[in-house]
Amino acid sequence: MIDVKQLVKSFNDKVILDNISVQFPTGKTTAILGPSGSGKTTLLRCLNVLEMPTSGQISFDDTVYHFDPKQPLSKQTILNLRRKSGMVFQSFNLFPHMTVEQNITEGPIIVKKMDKQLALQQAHSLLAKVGLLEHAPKYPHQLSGGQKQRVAIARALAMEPSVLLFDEPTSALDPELELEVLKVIQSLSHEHNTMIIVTHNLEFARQVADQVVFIDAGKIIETNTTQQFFSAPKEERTREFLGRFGQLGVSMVSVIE
Amino acid sequence: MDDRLVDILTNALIPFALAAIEVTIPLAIISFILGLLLAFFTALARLSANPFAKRGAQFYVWIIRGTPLLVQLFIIFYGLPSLGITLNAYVAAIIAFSLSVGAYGSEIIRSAIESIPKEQWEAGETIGMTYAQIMRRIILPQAARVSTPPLFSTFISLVKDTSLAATVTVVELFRRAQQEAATTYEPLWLYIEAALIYLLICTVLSYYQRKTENYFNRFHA
Ligand SMILES: Nc1ncnc2c1ncn2[C@@H]1O[C@H](COP(=O)(O)OP(=O)(O)OP(=O)(O)O)[C@@H](O)[C@H]1O
Ligand SMILES: [Mg+2]
Repeated sequence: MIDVKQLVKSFNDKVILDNISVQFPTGKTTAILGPSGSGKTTLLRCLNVLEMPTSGQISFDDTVYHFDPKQPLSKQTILNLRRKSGMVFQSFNLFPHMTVEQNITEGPIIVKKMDKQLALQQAHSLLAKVGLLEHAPKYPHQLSGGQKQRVAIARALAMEPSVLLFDEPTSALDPELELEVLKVIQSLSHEHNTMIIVTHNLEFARQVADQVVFIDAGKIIETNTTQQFFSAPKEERTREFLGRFGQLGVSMVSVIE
Repeated sequence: MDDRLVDILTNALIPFALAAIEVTIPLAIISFILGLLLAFFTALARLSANPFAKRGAQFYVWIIRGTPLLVQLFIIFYGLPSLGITLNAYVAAIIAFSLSVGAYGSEIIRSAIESIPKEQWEAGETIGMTYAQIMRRIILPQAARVSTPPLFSTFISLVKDTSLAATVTVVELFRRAQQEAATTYEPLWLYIEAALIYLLICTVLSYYQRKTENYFNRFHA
């Protein structure tokens, strides 16, 4: 389980994440919802220490990390913490000078010192999993956006992280490409990977998530089971947010058949 | 063109070619390689968090870019002996040219590194790579592509700038042309002949520039 306690992140004294406490259970998928600018991306980036939290603590199972500006974490501790999570970005961020399979083997070979042949085998089985095995020798620029994002997912999986973080993984994609990526994410969810997904796609959140966290203005407004969140939200602010997207479950067609 | 002139130009061809092959080209290649190494480390120093490295690199680039290459060459060859440092003319030329390539090249490499989107750094960080690993495996290969055209321009400029070595007694292609012109009184055609040899060398370099760019373009849309 990932346990976030009293996490604060400020940029130049402006508080962006305000005392966030939330738990992400192992093997479960959590959707993070909230209006634009509410701090969703910042929260994911703090979990991966792409942004250094200002204060608070994050525990991955038994390992606890305290954040305190007066006692900055050592480089090695940051690397260890970072290796616990895999990040999938909105804009894919594949390495353009490497083939698809090199993108995936890079982390295992360079960071984990995995045997090259083994890493390649692993890359191929991951590519098969995301349906891209025949694209292994291609360069990223030869792929569609949806294919790039599936490679990015395989790249993150190759490091075998405790948790996969997705920041609006389909926002940069055309609707017809979105589906193939959502399906991959859903199958990962069915396999009980621990995942945290920031998304604006409420219907997708409803279908894939076990738990929903709703953030507004840097504060957690509601943490709830997906079922409860959409059918009987606890907070007035949540109802307002959901209301803006119309009657869910009634008017929205299923994203994934 | 009369027969006498044709003879003079034909006779000059061998010594000109020898001067180019034995002096001008090695001078350019050695200075470029040394300069490129210097440029690389200067660029890293400029980008480093260490204020001494950063300042040192800035100072070096400021001095070299802000003063004429010819003056630098004279300081090294004619000036340093009064401090007890007497250098062989070739060595003086290589030092001056390398320092020049190092300064201009460092700016090219630095800006190429800075042009790689910060998302590439972040993608490397999220798979747990260290700063050095990201720099070496992710950033530099992409920066190499970006810096290929301007570095080749630097190389081509250097080939022509080696003619300055004539002023410190190095008998390279241009000095050889001066000598021929002085004995035959045909400066126009002999200097044109020398210019054509420079043009030939630079054309070959342009060809390699295209090949290098094509190589890097394999992974770029
Ligand atoms: N590096 C930064 N420096 C200063 N302010 C930042 C920085 N990164 C984010 N912010 C601010 O933090 C707030 C939250 O940003 P964040 O990107 O986390 O929102 P978000 O919920 O992901 O929004 P969106 O749905 O639009 O992606 C915004 O007001 C943003 O301007
Ligand atoms: Mg965001």
